[in-house]
Amino acid sequence: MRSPSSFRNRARRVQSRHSPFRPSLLLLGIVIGIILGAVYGFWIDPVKMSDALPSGLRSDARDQYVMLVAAAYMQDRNLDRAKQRLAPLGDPARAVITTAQKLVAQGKDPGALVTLATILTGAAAPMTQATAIMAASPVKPPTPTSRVTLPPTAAQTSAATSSLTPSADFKLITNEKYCNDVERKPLIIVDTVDENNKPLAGVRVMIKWAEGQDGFVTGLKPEISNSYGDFLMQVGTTYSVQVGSRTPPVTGIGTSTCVSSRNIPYPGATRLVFKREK
Amino acid sequence: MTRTAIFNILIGVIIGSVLAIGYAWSRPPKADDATLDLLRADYKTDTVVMIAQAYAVDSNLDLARSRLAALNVKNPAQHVADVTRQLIIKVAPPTDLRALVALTTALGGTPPALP
Repeated sequence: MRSPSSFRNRARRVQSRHSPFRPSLLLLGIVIGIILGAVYGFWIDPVKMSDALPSGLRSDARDQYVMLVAAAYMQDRNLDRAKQRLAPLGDPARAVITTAQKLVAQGKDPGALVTLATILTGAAAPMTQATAIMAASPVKPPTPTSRVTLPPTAAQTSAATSSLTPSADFKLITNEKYCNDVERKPLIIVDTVDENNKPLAGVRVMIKWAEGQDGFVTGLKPEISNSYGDFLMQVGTTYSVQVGSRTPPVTGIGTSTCVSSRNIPYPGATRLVFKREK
Repeated sequence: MTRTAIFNILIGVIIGSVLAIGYAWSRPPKADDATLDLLRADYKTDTVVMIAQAYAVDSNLDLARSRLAALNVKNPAQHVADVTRQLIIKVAPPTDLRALVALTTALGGTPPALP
């Protein structure tokens, strides 16, 4: 006499033998399906953002956008429009400086970005805003060894022709001839340091001469130093250099004469170091 | 392999694919992963204007082409001409329109007549 439970077990076995489903094979198929589906859903045809704002751009596209804003600014010189275009990216100056730093780090010419950064950092919030940005930005630390050191004979500290007042935001602490036998470029080199003599980036520097003016922001060549900025002089032209917004300009800057190791004269650079006043 | 085995694997593959694709497509895209071609229409239009403005300064047609290529437009000359038409209607600044017309012409397109 068979019990009711043995009948139930037999019935279950018969049913199982005729069921088309095999759990192990089904599971194998699901695993294969998940892999194939993931490849398709994540790589082949992923979900894409549409109607994106500039703030939603990928890093490289964002840089491209900022470069376009700077290039467009060179055409219309409309600062409000440039600011408006950069507004979705947050702080306009920060956006421009960050992109400029990336280009410099890649060994590319930041071009119009420098002009726009100079105007943006200089117009409304001279120095302070850009300084904070540059100090906080992930740029390479200063590499003092990358700078060519002055030969002792070339160093010639001269009295500054500027007349500093206590209201100045920077004090000129060094004004010297700078000879670099390798580059031989007649540069105006500006270094800016803070009250503790630490490199200070993002400081607006204006260069003026009889026929025109130009400007740059320190720290755009982080491979040299976060506090570094330079300008290529024309031989025979006299320049004035103004750092910050309240410091009187240093006037009478021009090319000096350096002599190479083979006794060949070439136009030398002038190096100015400014220290931020407390 | 029996027909039953193939049937089981196929059913599994279908279930697995649906689950994985459903998961992948239900996730929101990263907020900072867009390219220039995915910009909102007004920003995309303004990007074309900026490209034209940049071209007006540097006259670098190759650079302008590569910048337009980032917008993923099929016919750059036609697209720039279309943007010019849009901006004529919106009474955009004449300098923008002239820059757009110059770029359209440089790209080999037919620019609309300026007002």
